Amino acid sequence: MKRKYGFEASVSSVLFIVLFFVMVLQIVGRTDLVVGPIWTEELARWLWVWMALIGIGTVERDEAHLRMGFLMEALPPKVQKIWAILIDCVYIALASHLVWIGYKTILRTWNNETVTLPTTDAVLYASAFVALVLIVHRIFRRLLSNCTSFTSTDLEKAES
Amino acid sequence: MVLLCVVVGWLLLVLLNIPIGIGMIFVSMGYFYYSGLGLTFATQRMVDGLNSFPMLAVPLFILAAAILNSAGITHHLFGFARALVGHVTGGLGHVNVLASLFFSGMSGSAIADAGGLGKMEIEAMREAGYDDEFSGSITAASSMIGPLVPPSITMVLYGVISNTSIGQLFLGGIVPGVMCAGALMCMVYFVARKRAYPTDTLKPAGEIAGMFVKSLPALLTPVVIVGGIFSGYFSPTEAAAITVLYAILIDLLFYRELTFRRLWDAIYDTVVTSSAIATIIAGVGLLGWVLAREQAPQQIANLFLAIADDKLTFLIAVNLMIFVLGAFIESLVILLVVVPILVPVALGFGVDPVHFGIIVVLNLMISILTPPMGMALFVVAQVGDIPYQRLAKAILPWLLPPIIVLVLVCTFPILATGLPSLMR
Repeated sequence: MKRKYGFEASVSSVLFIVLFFVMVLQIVGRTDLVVGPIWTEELARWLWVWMALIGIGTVERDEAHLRMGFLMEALPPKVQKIWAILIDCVYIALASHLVWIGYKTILRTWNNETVTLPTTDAVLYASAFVALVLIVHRIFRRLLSNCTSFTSTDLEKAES
Repeated sequence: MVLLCVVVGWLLLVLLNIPIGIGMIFVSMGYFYYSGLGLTFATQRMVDGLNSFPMLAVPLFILAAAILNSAGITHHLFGFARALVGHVTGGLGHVNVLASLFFSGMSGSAIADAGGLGKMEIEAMREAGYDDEFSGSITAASSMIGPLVPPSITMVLYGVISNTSIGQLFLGGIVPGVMCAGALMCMVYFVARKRAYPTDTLKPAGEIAGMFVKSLPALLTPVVIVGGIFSGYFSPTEAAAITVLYAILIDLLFYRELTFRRLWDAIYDTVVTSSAIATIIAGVGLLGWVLAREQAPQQIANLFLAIADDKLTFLIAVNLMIFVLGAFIESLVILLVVVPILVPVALGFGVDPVHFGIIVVLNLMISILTPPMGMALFVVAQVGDIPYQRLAKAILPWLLPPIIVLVLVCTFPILATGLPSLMR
């Protein structure tokens, strides 16, 4: 079966590859072979933050979060589905609020200079904003799919 | 009271199937709304929780293990271990432990060990006539050695949260890791003798030497990592990048099994796993602030001061607490939420931070074997196609060897601090 790669994790994978090369450059830069740039550590940290947060979108898609579901798994599938829909409704509301806070954080940190990179801290904190937008998108799609399948199953049952 | 509500609220959310990290964010946001503090710094705290250079070692060590698994290096290690100890009473049980010990020198994760080596080990043992309970139990139990022997993702995280030297922690885990392997092999010997399990025939010395040469580049990984750190060539975080580079290089030069597709899949899987971990770290960034504001560390410290008079009583109390919590809560969560509160208390009792780190990591590794929430058990049950209930029951006697090692490490700190003090 062909594997379905998530968009967010694919972007994160590219960031991870760049991060790896930045780390190698940092190590090589300490030898006498080449003169290492001073921004490698800060850039590596930023890439990690961006990579980790952006990838959460795919974690949501694959429902790969660490969880302890044994209690809920004992309940009937219908109850589980209603619960999942309820949780996603709360999740989407809170995540949307965080998107707004993420946006305000970008504005607040816009003039904060970084230590070594020629940019502002807003670039780092924008990672949370972008990641949260992608997460909201994923939850919305899941919510839509759960609601649709829930209603269609009910209709089928009613028809039969 | 508010603190109790926060903790109980979070546990309730987790039990109601809400992801662990998301539950932390939910409950923290609830606290902010309730206390009228506002969420102005919420996303900033989550980002700051992740923005740490040593933490970069986590995805890199996960990637190194994924590459080693994808490149089939585990097959060579298993083959070499089998040639070495397959003929001893307990045969493949010993091979299982020894292969995990070899693999632990390259991977920092018990789950990578259980998932990577597990399937191959259980299939070989099943074929040779070992029962599923024995095969599954020893596979899960031996996977706990992974995070004790350097490199270790758990130790990296402990080092970050407790501000302890990761290099010293890496060295400190070697003796307890080898002791765990030895204790498990003793148990394998006695169980196998009682049940008369089959053994392999002794391989000719030439064949063993050939397998050793083939496995040597992989076996040298911990030497490269520890050697590099202590010779000052690179930091523990950079060592993780070097491990990835080394894994790719030895495959290109010796094994040639890694394709671009496999490498991409290894990177992709690492990203997904790292992002799942990052959710918890981001959640801890927020929840940690709530706990600090509610003075949780002080309250826990007072509790321990009330029940413990000296260092040993404190360690017993901490171990019992982690052991009980570990049966129900994921070890990573205990490490990121509970341990930061305990570290200052441990230092107050005069416990060496490296000693305390090794105790915590050892106990957390026992917790991945304890049902009902034994992460290694879930993985082994899945890869070995063994019913979880059967495995959860069969693992119980196998908890004894690591618990004995834990008691010894608690009683004799030199077992954890001896090697690091030699390198200071």
